[in-house]
Amino acid sequence: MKQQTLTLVAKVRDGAKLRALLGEIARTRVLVGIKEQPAFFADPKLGIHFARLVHIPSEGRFDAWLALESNFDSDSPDPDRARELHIDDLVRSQPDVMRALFSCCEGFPKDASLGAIGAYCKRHLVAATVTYEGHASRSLDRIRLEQHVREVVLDFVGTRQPKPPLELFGEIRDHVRAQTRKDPRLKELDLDVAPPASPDPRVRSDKLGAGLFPWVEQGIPTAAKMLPSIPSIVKWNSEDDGYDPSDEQQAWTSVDRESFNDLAATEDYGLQNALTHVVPLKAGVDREAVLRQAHAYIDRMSHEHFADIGCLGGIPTIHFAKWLLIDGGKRLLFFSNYDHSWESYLGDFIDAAALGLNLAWSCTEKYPKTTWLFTGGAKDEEAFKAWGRKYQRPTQVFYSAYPDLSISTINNNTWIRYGLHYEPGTIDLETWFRRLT
Amino acid sequence: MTEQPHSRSYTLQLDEIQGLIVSGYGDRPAASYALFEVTDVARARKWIARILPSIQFGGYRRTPRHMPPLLADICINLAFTYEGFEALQLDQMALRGFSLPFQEGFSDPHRARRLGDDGPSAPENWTWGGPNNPDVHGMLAVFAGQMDANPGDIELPGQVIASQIREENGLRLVKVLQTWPTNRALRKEHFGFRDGISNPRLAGLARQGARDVIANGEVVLGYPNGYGKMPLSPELPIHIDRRGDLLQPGDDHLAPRRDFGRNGTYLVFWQLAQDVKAFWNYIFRTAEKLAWLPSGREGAMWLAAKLMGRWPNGSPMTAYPDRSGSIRHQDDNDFRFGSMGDAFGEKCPIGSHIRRTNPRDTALPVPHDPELSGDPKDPTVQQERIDRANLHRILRRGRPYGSPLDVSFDPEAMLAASEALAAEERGMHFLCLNANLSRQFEFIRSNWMVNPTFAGLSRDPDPLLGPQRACPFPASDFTLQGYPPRQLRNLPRVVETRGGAYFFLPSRSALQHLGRDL
Repeated sequence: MKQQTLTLVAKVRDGAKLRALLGEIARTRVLVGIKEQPAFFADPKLGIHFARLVHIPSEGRFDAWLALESNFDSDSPDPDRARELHIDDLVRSQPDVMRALFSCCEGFPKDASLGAIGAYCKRHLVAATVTYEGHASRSLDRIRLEQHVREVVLDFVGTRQPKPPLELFGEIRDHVRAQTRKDPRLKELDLDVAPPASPDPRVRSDKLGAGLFPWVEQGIPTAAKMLPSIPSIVKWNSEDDGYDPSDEQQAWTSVDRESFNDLAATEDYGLQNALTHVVPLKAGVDREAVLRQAHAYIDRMSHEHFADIGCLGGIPTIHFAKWLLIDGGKRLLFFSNYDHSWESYLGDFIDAAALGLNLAWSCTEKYPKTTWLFTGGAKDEEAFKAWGRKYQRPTQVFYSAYPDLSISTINNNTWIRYGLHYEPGTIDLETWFRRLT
Repeated sequence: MTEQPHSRSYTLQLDEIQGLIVSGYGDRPAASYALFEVTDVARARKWIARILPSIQFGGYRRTPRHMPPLLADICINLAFTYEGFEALQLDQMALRGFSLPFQEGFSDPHRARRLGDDGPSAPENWTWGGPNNPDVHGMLAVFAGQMDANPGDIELPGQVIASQIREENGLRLVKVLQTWPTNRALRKEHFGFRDGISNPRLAGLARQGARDVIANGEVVLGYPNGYGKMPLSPELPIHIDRRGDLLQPGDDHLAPRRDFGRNGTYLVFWQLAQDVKAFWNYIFRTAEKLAWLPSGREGAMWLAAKLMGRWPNGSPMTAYPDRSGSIRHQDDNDFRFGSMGDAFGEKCPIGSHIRRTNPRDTALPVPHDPELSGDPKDPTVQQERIDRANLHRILRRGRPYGSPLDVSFDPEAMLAASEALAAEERGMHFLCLNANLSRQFEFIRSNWMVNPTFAGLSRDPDPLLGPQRACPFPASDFTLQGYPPRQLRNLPRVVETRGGAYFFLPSRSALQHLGRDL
């Protein structure tokens, strides 16, 4: 079982009808875990972790788009095949809603058959320039199992008197082993075999201690390919405008204010939030090429380095994130499924990963001024946040399969479960016990 | 990460800055806050000009000259809401320049959801502010009396308010919020815990070598903040400032604008009602049930202190994990968790109220994973965390209101108090000052208090505020870290919001500008 991701983007023909439909989809909810979620994505057979439907309105010279994003489990090791199968599952699960959705879009056949809906969706798949998974290799079933393991352990220790950690750990292990024979929710757990191979705790340790090397190593291909663009970058360095939050704020119209309100109306209903951000690239011939190179670097870091650590750029609050180009490479779309508030998410990025942000967005419109694409920029905190908000768009339909679990809880649960597979005395018990909080 | 604030950030223009920024007037036991509406802009502006000489700026011990007799020895501060500035017909450019949270207001429904004001705390249920009450345009804060002086001093704020907030001044009184006279020796909030400790110091007001110092621009507009940048500030076109009252923007001497916000700050007023009996009932009942706790009062006090993160006398858990200790000096509370051997909350629980409102060098978001977050004993790691936490600090200026359930603040005596007395409302007028509402006050509430996964916890919101709808869990837990860790379930909600508003506390120049005829 592997996590896969897909994004399909279709040009909107009837925006009003689409908005009404998205409203209805958002309101039709079922209980998932302990919180209601949009029923559209909730069919367990779909294996969806996070998903969204977004109407990206037309702006200036840009068209309106409908985007469907899903992050899902798949048995298929081939990502393209996995996406095709997932589309077939979506169509089978919700044929009428899928038909209604895409009938608001251009080129959708009237009275489309199931096969025709699927074919239309597959034609509109868009490849991401960067993808990131915060708990790669953990399926929905495994996430639920490991959360339950933690609860079983905590319920048990709550009844124990203080005693030496080694002795207590032995008792916990015996208790969990006994429970696996009785509790159907633990049936996939067998403490007497080795824990699942992935993620590998040793690889994680190595990568956490790796220092600068991976950054440089992953940067070499990018640096080589960027050489021809250096004159352009020098030119942008001197000519690009920065973002002036004061001037921008002075120019806010009632439409801007409504849009801030619409955004806020879609946020903070629980632990997790969705961020949808769409911004045009700056003018200039090389921009798209340079952006693609910079994103190729981030994508390599994301998969080669951060996936094993469980945080992107040092930020352990992102479940899934991706960047992709739309409008024929003229606009950059960013989707993120993150924990906690917008303010903390952007603050974490600024404080821990400004360099990555600059690489990802410095080729886009009004981005706070950078030097050589990677310094400055997001370091201008109020300007960066205001810029981020300006280009953010509401996420009309947002689904999470585990709305009560933060990414750090999910990762932590995995290490708690791993500990139980080892004999007492072979792991650092102090750290293991701390993870129970 | 954070840049060293520029040296000029240390020179605060004290004569321009309202006294509440410099001091909480701890030695003035009497305080009242008058919430008012502007009914006549011309008269209200004249009144601002008249009262300006009586307003306390900078170092509050200095007695201002030209003071009407009634106002002698009384400290007055004046603040306005966004609606208040609109009513005073402040220039559109300045109105647009205020931060979005200030423009939207404290009771905006999306904000209330994020900050945890739901159920009984929802803005619709507030006794002031919110959608169902008269508009609040301004607040006159009056502090009076001397310690051990004439008890009649307690009446002074009321007299000042009655003499000032009048129709002929173009003002209508919306509500007077009284406070309970402070006792500097005791300084307790209603649950019985010492309050008002561990406020950060502004760089411009701190002594050489002081710890817990934050950049001036974290509180006062017009100075570099923790990022080394000037906070956004409402500005005016130069021609509006006809008399040259205002200063040029802090980092731009040639700007065709004047800085209305400079030397001012955002002031949060949050009224919190405290159910003292519910709190102590929960504590005693729970302590009785837990076999691993000492029985009776001893176990209850231990449990209450763990939830609060400090003993009732103010001594910190980190230094005194199992028994209340002495508190000799403010520095007893000026510590780091990492260097005090409590990086993982085994002494002061990670989710305790004071630790989550000031996590100091706690590794966020996951302290329990040193591999991910670094060695908690390493001073460089500690400093990085302090620098990051300091980007979310506020200056607290709160005072309790309502009479104590028992003046001894002894939990058992408070539990024995009559039901009639318990039914009287009591709580905290929580006031705080900050330059960036969303990064400071709102961040502390949404990310540190309401957030059930704060610092790697799983379903533990702030133990004093209890469960909120924003939190996806039906009930609140509280985790006591240790070997083994323990979890308390179903914490009750013992604090509720009764009202609140975002104000702006303008500088002397800005008030002077507001006091001019239109």
